[in-house]
Order: sequence, then structure tokens, then C-alpha cells
Amino acid sequence: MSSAGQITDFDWAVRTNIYQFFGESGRAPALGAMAAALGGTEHQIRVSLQRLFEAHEIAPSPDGNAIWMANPFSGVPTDYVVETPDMTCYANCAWDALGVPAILGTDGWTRSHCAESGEQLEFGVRDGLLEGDDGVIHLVTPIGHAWDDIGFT
Amino acid sequence: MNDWLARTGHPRGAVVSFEQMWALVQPWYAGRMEPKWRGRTAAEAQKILEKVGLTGPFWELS
Repeated sequence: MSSAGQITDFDWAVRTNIYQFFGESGRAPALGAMAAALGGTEHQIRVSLQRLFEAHEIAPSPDGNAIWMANPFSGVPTDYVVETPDMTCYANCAWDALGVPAILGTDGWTRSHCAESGEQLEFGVRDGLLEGDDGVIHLVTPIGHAWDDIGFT
Repeated sequence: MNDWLARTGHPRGAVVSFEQMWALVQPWYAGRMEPKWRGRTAAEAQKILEKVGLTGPFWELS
């Protein structure tokens, strides 16, 4: 959970910029574009991303030069492709595949596959209602340790 | 699931239905697109989990 005490207003503006970009385009913004939009430097963006990571708000890529995750959105391709009425994006996991329509307040349809059988799996929200194939979501990492290794989680 | 656990060596975690996950993500992600979002405390998040029936050691945030 967030330990927001050390986060600055600029950090929160960075976070907002990331989420708005994902929500509109389905993609992560580039650091240079964020710096230009927010009147800062790429170095300032990297420092903000580190604080946002420590607060469990944003996960930058390991080299700090890109956005990896802004849950439920993924900045890199995953097995969870979510189509909304306005864009297509990647979600981080099955939890986040349903998180996309939840955070946007829209419909969202996911095409993925069963981790065990490999069979195609489709599910999502249509007209505000949950629909799709039957299945369950298996979570391996206890939630209190989710950010210990967010990539694995 | 047992085959997948055996193949990957991962421990059994928590199993959640799509219905329960949909019930969770709506309050979990509520407000997170808003510029005024300033995070959520562990206690606040724990209440959301409890409200949709996700309780027990696996779901303890702190």
C-alpha cells in the first residue's frame, strides 16, 4: 500500500500523467514526453518513478527508463490483451484484466489462455456485466508480499 | 491446477472466481484514475478485501 508521506506534488502529477496516457491510448508514456508535458527533466521523472515505486503506485522498468506497470495497465506485452470501446491495452495479470474495465468504468474484453491447459480463455465485462468462459484465477503470491517481486506477482 | 503446480513448482496460493475478482476490482480500482488520488492505507485496502470475502493469512496486507 502507499506510504505517500515522501511523495511530492510533482510525483503525483507524474502518476496522473501516466494513468491518463494509459487510459487514453492503452500504452505507457515515454519519459521524455512526460518531462515535456510536466515541465521537468527526464532525471526528475526517474526520481519520481522511484518514489512512486516505493509507494507501490508505479513500477518502472528495471533500468528506470520506461514504465513497466501502472496497475492494472502494463507497459509491456503480456498474455492479457484487453479491448475496451476506446483502445486496446495489456493488463498485468487476470486480476488486472478485470481491473481495466473497473478503473476505466467501461466494458473490457480479455483474450488470454489457461495457464494449465493452454486453451484460449476469454472473459470480461460487456454492458457492465461479467461474461465469458468459466474459470478461476489462481494467485500464487500472498498479497502482503505482492510488491516484493511485482514482476513475478 | 494440480498439474500446473507440479510442473512449475509453485505453491498453492489462493483461488478466486471471476465473479469474486470482479466484485473486488471495482472498489479496488475506484478513484485511481483521478488526479486527486493520493494512495490508500493498508487498513483501507484490507477492508475492501474483507468486504468481498477475501480473508485469512493469504490476504493479510500487513
